[in-house]
Amino acid sequence: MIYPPTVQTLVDEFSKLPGIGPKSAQRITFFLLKADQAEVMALANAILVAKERSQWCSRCFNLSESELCPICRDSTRDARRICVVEEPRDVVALERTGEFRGYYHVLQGSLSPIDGIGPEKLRIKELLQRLAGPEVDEVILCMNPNLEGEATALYLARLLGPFGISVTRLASGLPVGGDLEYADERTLGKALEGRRSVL
Amino acid sequence: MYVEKLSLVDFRNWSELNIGFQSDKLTFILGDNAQGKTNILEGIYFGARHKSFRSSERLPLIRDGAEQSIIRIEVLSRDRRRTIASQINRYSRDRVLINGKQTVRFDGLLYDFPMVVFQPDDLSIIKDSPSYRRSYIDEAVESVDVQYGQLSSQYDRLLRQRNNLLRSIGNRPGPSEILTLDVWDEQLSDAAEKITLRRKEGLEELSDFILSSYRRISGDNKRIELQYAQSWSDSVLSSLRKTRENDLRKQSTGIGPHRDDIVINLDGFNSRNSVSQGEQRTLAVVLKLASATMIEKVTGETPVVLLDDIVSEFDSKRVTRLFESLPSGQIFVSGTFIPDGLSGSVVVEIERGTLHGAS
Repeated sequence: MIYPPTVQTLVDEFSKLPGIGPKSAQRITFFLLKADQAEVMALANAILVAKERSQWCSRCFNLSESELCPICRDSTRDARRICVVEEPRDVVALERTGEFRGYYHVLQGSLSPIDGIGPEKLRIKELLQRLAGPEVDEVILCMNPNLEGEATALYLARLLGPFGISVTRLASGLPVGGDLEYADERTLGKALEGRRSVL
Repeated sequence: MYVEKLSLVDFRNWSELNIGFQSDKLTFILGDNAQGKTNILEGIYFGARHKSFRSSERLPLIRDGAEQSIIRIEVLSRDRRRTIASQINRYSRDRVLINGKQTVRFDGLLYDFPMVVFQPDDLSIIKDSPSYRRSYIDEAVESVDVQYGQLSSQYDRLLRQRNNLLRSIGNRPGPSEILTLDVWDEQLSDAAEKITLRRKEGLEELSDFILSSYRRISGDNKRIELQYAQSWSDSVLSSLRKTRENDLRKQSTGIGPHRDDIVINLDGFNSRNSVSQGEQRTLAVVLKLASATMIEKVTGETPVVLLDDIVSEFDSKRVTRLFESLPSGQIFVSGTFIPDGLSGSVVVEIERGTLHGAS
C-alpha cells in the first residue's frame, strides 16, 4: 500500500527512533492521524519544548534545564565523592536508592569500537578536569556490567591511577529478594567470585 | 534424553507428519533417496536445538508455498517430560515454546536437550579448515558446560570490538589509543584463556573415548594422538603485546582461540591429508560418538544420537562394528536399507513422502 507523501514521511521519521520498526511506526502514525488535534499539538509541543529547554549540565553532563543541574546546584551534597555513570538514566536509578549523597559524572556512553565510540567521544576529559582540584577523594565507577562497561571501567581505572584517589567499582551479584535458583549462571558465578567473609 | 513424539507441519517436504518413537531403541528411518528421511532427522534436531544441522538459513526449512513451519517434539529428559514447539515464520520472528511457555534464550538448549548428529559432511571436521575442528570442540564443550556458550559469544564480541578498534586506529596510535587497546587486550585475553582451558579439558576428556571407539570400529591398532594446537605461546596477553604491530598493520587479531586448531595424528600421520579417506570417515564418526559418550559421562544424561546416511559411508565390516559400539540411549539412523544383523530394530519406512510402519 502506498501512503500520501506527508504520511509516509511521518512513518519514516518514526522508524528512525530506537526500538521502533516499520510496523510500529505505521501504528503510531495512524494513532496520531485519528487523534484529536489538541492531543497531537500537545505531543508536538512537548517534544519541541523538551528539546529546546534541555541541555547538558556544564559540570556533570547530566540532563538539565539550566547551566547546572539540580544535583550539582545542591551544595549540601558530599563533594568528596563522584559517581561515574554511562547515561542520565543511570543517575535517576542511583538517586532512587537514596544511598548516594555525592555528585555524579555522566560519560554519555561507553567504549565500543564497533559503534565508533572511543575515549574522545566520552566526557572523560571533563572528568579529569573535575578531579584536578583537592576536594574529591573517591571515584565510584558505576558502569553497566557488560563487556563495554567493563572496558570503560578498566580504562578509567588506568587513567585515574596517577591521581592518588580511591577508585571503586560497583559490586556485581545477586538481586536482593530473589531466589538463588533463578539466578542465571553468569550472575551466580560473578557473585561467587565476589564473595565476602562474614566473620 | 528421549524423543517420544515428533510432529511436523509444513517443514521441508512434510506438510503434516506425526510419529511416535520408542525410547532407548535403535530406530531406522528407511526410504529411497529424496523421500525426506534426512528432513525427519533435521526436524528432531531443530525441535531440540532451534537450529538446523544443514543450513543456517531459515527460509528453506519452510515448505514451498507455506507461511510457517511448526515443529513439535515431546521429550523426556532429566526425568521431566516436556513439549518443545517451534514456529518458523516466513514474515515474522520465530517463536519457541517449552511446555507452552515462550522462551527467548536459546543458549541453554544444547545443555538441556543434548543431541549429537553425524552427517556425511562431517568429513570436513577431519579434512577441511581448522574452523570445523574448532566448532566440533566448541559444541562438545558447550553440551557439558552450560556457561561455555556465553563465554564464547563474549569472546566473539570482544574480538569484534578489538578488530574495529584496530581499524579505527590505523598505523599511528597515540597514547590514548594505546591505553584503549590495552584495556580491550586485557579483557580479550581473559576470555581467551578461559576458552582455551575448557577446550583443552574437553579434548582431554574426549581423547579416551576417541581412542577406544576408533579401535573398536576400525578393527586396527593404529595410534591416535590428539593435540590442541595453540596459535600463541606463554599467555594470550603477552602474545597480543608481541603481535600488536602486526595486528595494527593487518587490522585484525592474528592470535587467539579463533585461530587455534586440533591436530589429529594417526600412527604419526596428520589425518588432515596423510591418511586414507576411509580412515578419515571413521575418525569423523568416532569424534561425534565420543562427544555423545562424554555428554553421558559428564552430565549423566544420554544424548539423542542422529546418524544421517551412515550405512552408505562405510564398508560392511566397519558398519557392523560401528553398530556394535554405539553409545547407549536413543539413536536414529537414516538410510536406504538395514545392514545385516540389525533386522530386529524399529523401522519407520517412507514411500513417496508418506509414512509406513510407524509405531
